[in-house]
Amino acid sequence: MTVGPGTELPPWRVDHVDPEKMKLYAAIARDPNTIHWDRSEVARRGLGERLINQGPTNLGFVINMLHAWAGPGCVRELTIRFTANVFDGDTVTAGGVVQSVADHGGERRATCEVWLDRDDGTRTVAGTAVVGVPA
Amino acid sequence: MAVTEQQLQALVGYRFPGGTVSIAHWENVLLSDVMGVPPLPDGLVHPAALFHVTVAGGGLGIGEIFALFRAESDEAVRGGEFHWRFEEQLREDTPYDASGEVVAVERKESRKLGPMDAVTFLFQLRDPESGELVAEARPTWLFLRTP
Repeated sequence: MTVGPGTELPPWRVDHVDPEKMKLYAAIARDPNTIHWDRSEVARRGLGERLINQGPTNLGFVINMLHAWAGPGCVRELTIRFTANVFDGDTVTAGGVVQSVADHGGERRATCEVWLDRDDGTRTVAGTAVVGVPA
Repeated sequence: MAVTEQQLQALVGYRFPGGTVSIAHWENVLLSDVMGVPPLPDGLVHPAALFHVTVAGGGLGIGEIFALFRAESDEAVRGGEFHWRFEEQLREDTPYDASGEVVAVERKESRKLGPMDAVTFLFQLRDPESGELVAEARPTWLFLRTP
């Protein structure tokens, strides 16, 4: 695999963000926030009519993209901001581009700009990832 | 705002009870399903687990953390920034010593979300035998406040 500054990471697409998985994640994480599982509560708060996906799941989609590119277990660091919501039914795409590559204790590591975008162009996650890549 | 910045600043340095935590195979399977992928090979845990595992290992639930920082409702808390570092990958059915503390509180005003308190935590998972750091999460949660 040739990796250098400017290398684009293959995008990872989720065609339909599933509300049932939001409920499952709420149970796993013991997250009491109703905006992930009660549409009437989302509407009452003026946040629209669709459930709002959990931030760690949005980050998980970015991690899936990194794994598909550099292999399971490649993630060393993630620094990200959540910049907008992802709603049930949305299509989202994770992407990234290599900024730099350096050796770290005998391992080759790529620092990448990463993101997760809704299909209307809204960026929902933005940040950097450091991943181990093949020498 | 019912809670003062001083009251919240007093929580900087607060240490969570901590404890031992592990990720069971079934938990990793379900978490992987949420992420839309099959479980990773060789017992590797999906890294997205770091969020809930560190919170659980800290010894307080999400709801209890909401209460500690006097969230105005369960819906008045947002994820801000996450910084995660993995010295090793997490593995299923492996015990980790967990710790957590509050490292910063900042009251600020967002153009989009209004007044808020940004609270930064440091959660760590360590090998119980060697004491070596395995992974850490430094999340900032935003507690939205009514003016």
